[in-house]
Amino acid sequence: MCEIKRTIKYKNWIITFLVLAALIISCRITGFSMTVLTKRGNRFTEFVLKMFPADLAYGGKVMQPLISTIQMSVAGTLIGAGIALLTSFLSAGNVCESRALRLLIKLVVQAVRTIPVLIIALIATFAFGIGTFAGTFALALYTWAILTRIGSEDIETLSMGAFEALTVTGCGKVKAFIRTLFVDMLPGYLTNALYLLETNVRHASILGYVGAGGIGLLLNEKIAWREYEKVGTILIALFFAVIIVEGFSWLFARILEGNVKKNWLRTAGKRALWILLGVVSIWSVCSIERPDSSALGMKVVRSIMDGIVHPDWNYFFSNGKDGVTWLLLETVCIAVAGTLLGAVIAAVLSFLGSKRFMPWPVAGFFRVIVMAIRTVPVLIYGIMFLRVTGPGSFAGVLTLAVTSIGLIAKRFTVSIDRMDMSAWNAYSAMGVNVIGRIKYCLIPELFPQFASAVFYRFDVNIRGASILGLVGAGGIGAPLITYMNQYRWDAVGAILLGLFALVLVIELVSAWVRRA
Amino acid sequence: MSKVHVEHLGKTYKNGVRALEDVSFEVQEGEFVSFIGMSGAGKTSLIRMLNGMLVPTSGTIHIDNQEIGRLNRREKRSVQKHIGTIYQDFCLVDGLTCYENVLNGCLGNQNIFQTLVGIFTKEQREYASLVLKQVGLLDKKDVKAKELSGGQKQRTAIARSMMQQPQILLADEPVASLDPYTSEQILELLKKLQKQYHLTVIINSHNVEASLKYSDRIIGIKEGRVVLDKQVNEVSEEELKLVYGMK
Ligand SMILES: Nc1ncnc2c1ncn2[C@@H]1O[C@H](COP(=O)(O)OP(=O)(O)OP(=O)(O)O)[C@@H](O)[C@H]1O
Ligand SMILES: [Mg+2]
Repeated sequence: MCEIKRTIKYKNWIITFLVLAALIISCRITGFSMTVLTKRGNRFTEFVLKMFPADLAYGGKVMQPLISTIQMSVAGTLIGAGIALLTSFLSAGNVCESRALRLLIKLVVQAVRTIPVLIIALIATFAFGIGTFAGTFALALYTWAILTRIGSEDIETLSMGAFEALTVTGCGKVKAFIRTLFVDMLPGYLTNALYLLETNVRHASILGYVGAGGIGLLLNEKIAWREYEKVGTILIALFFAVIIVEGFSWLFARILEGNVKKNWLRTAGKRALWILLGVVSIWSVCSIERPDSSALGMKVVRSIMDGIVHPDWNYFFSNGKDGVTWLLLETVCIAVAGTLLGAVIAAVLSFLGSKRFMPWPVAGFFRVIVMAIRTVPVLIYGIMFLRVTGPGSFAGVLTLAVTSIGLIAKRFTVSIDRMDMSAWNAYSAMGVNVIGRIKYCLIPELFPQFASAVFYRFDVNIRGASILGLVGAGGIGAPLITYMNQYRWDAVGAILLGLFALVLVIELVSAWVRRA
Repeated sequence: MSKVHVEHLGKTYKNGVRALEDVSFEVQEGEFVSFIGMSGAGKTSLIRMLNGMLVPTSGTIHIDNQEIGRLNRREKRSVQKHIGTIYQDFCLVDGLTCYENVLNGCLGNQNIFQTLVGIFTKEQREYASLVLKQVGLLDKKDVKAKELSGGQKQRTAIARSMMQQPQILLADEPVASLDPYTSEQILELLKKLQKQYHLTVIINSHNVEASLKYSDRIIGIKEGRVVLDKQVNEVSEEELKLVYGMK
């Protein structure tokens, strides 16, 4: 017994040590500096003050691009989710018997998941021309990959008993399948699709940067022209759009879970909501622009494939500061430092936003703050932090930190609100002070959930870190985009291959850590 | 005329395990027969061959004088439509309500479109309510299957098979995962339905006492062979011990 406890303790120490070491190395490599932050941090606030108060008169002009951003997200999510519904069954071991097919789908999913949406969108603009078609395509592909993976994992946990039981009532496999496995997985699947819709709205707002339609184009333009009060207007509009989408997706998720208390939502309201969703979907899909027929289309796709199959190995293995290896290391370091910094801020904010520990007006206030932080697109943060730090990966660290806050804080708040308070109450009845209670009751209970949220975000941030280069905030994104614009597909291939390997390694390590 | 007629039935699995060997028996219409035997004796394999989930390696199964192995797919399905099966682990769809699970029992009479959209006729819905009432679950109609208790799940499964308007009811250890009191209730229910609809019931069980109480006949299986086949009142202690391998 004692023996086991000691090994567990050792393991904790080792993990703590490794994390700290990674943090220190990451801070070194990215040039993280507290002095810069304290000395020049005011430039960040200066920038914010330039945006707000916003130019509300400009609001009217924002509506059209905002709507097309939402249309792109809805259409992309819908198409991606529709196709993934099929492929998630085809890649589930208990449904599809062909091992080769399953493996093929999994490989493609993994490859797509490696590439950030923005990069997919950029490639799509080469293939289909500039406009919302490219953006929708990128979002659909991304949604497809994520949902195929989650969906097939969910299907694999379903039991086949009911399906087999119905098959032998003589109704045939197809009908048995529809009424068992299919209806069983559908609500969870749709809930995940709705969460992705939220994520996609955020993604869609920056796709304009690479010419893939939506409000990002406007954002880019207004920043370039230094019309910051108009940038503020765009951000406010995005904030409300995100709130509305989140509200709807929350409502649908509740209906799907079947725990709706209000009566009107059960019957007429429910039907109306579904009809609304249907109408919005059709309207969104119909609004996608036709792909530009003069674009390079399949030719580009073929050259990219060619580049990936024949990557520039010299570039891949060169070990200078502009080689793939170093760039990948820098990208990882940005992600490590950014995620951990974001986690610390998120932990504080989620306690302040918890209804358990704070009176509700305070909690409500901090929740709105978190939501506002979450609304601002990555690249805007990048531009803002560049003013503080100058170009380089330090800006990337700060950017990833703030963009991580939203999701981590959301997951933290959920686990705090669901926490079992009996131990806490027992300790306070024994007269243990707040510090003691936090140390012996709160941290042991919450730490595992916090850690898993942080790890999950780290995985996302690796990909996030590889687009920061677009605004000059370090990482592998800058050379990637440069080479793409120069049609140097062999170099692009080398970078993508490196990213693929990196993501794969991190996934294997994370699976190992979770098992251990 | 016998309802179920099994001759020289054998089953060898792909991995070489011989689950059944030369099993023959007849079950008359309206009879309640219990199969008993140790774990691994081959009872589940037998039930699964009777409902068509498994294909026998040798021998024949006649149901209503039709040899199952000789039927084409369509004919086989139309026989299967009137064989209800109840399983130890219920085999319900967790995410559907009790009522929806029961409706699944009549998929055999639907076309694909109706299934896809989830349309059931008025008669089907009324019949579902009727069988739910018979198994005493009308008040749990809209509860999700995963939120039901074990006994309630088994009642739902029974209602689902009643939905098929079966002539034969098969049950593979229907009460093995239930407590003694609930088990008794479920067996009472099966007995009641058997009487009411003049069903032919074939049930697997580990509970010899309950088998003696509820069935007309006992068939003992040991290592894949029939070692006992008698009316309940003729079975002796010794013979039962023999089935379970004791001297
Ligand atoms: N799918 C299968 N593949 C291979 N062997 C199997 C399979 N199913 C059952 N068997 C084997 O066939 C034999 C009979 O199994 P069966 O499940 O029919 O026994 P049972 O009487 O129902 O046992 P229990 O009382 O434990 O349910 C066992 O030796 C078992 O290991
Ligand atoms: Mg069995």
